[in-house]
Amino acid sequence: MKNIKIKLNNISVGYLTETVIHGLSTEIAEGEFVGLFGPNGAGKTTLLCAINGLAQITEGNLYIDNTEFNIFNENKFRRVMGYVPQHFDIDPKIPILAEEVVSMGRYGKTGLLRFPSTKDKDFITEVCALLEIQHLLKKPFGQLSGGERKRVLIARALVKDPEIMLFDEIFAWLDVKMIDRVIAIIREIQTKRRITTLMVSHDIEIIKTLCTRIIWMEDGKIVFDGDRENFLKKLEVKQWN
Amino acid sequence: MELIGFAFFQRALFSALLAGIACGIVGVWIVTMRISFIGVAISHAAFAGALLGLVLGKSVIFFSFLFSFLACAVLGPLSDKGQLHPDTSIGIIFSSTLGLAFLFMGVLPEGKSQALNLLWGSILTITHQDTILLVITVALLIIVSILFFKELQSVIFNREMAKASGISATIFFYLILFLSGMTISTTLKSVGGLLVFALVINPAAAAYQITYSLKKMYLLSTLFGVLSGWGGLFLAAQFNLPAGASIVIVSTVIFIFSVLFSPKRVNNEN
Repeated sequence: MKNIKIKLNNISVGYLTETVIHGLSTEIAEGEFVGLFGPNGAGKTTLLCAINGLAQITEGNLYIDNTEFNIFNENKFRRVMGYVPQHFDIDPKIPILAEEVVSMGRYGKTGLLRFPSTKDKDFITEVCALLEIQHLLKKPFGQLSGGERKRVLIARALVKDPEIMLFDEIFAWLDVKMIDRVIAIIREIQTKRRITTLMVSHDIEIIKTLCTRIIWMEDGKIVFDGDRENFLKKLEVKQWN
Repeated sequence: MELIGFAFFQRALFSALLAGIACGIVGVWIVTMRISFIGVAISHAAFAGALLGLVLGKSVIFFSFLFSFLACAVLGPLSDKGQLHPDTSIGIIFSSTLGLAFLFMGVLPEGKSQALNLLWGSILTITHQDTILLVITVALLIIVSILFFKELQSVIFNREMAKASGISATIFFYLILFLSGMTISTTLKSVGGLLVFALVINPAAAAYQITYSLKKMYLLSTLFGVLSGWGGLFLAAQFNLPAGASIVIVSTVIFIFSVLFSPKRVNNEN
């Protein structure tokens, strides 16, 4: 029996007056790689944001490692969750270098009034080598291209040595060569560490390649939840209809 | 230049040094986080509070603190939760605090000269107590900037991402707002209620044009703040001009030069 890493119990999530997710329940086991698939506005990004507490759960409960996620323990859980957002607008003149952006991923774990140790720095160097971003580190983050920023943000999420990864359309902006490279890296990490991962993607090929389980969402609800083979069958039926 | 020999001018130079450092540090946060609308509202609230202090015959700085903190307490959640567009909230707070300021000015029991001093600033008449408060403010700002450098850098980069990393971004955002309120209140007497915000924004905006390093931006911003203060004081003494206005003019000139010779401008044009 696998440990349940994330449990969503009848959650509703909304922004101001609008409810985006309606009474959604599911469980994600430790080490599972789950793809979140569905049309625009289905609530996939909102679901990721609800899991790391960036979007407010208005009803229901979220459990991480069988402990309810709340405002008192949210930072403890966020320190073991890597998150790569879909959109990331920033002023090109911002006085922050790419290497500082990567290190920021580790700051929560480092703690207040402490600076990253040699061990932390070695781990950061290792992650940067894995993502082949060493040549970008001394550049201002705002001056990087969309694809380069994405790789830096992936590194930022990985340097905290996460137990849970939340990827939101991470392959957007990447060229074909880099998509293959990132897929290979994710597979390598998955084989070594078995991080529980939720990945939002519109790309069926990527979902098929990486995910062992797919959750299909529409209008803030789950319309399909199953393995890769059944997902492909459902997709075929949907296309014929 | 014989003024340098006078104690009041030396005290003014020291106050300009402190005000330049304090506004330079706070300016870095306000400029990089693009929350200048909050800063403007805080400075006007501080001005209204100071005038209420005058009306009641109580401590000007205490009421200035109180009003700026109240403005932070109102504007912080509005900005944090995105429930009100910044244009709307600044419009409401700006106009209402300015309305209150003129109301308090209207009911002042004695002459208006003290109120006008708060409006334009009077760095040459700064007291020993004002200087001590400025020293405390500067010390606090330097300590916070060094001890929480990495947390503040994360919040400056992106508040949501800082939260996602497990940093208490909301607490640091409010810390920034309250320290901004404190700085504006303590520099109000020297630079003036209407002008203090220029000393917060201009040096930091000039530093922003020059460097891609946050540490260098802190240093340049404080350097420009101090240069504005001292340059303004000497201009005022030399040409018999109002000190607060001269300080702001010098800071504006520094900003214009930084834009003209900005390496970032060249990069972006390329």
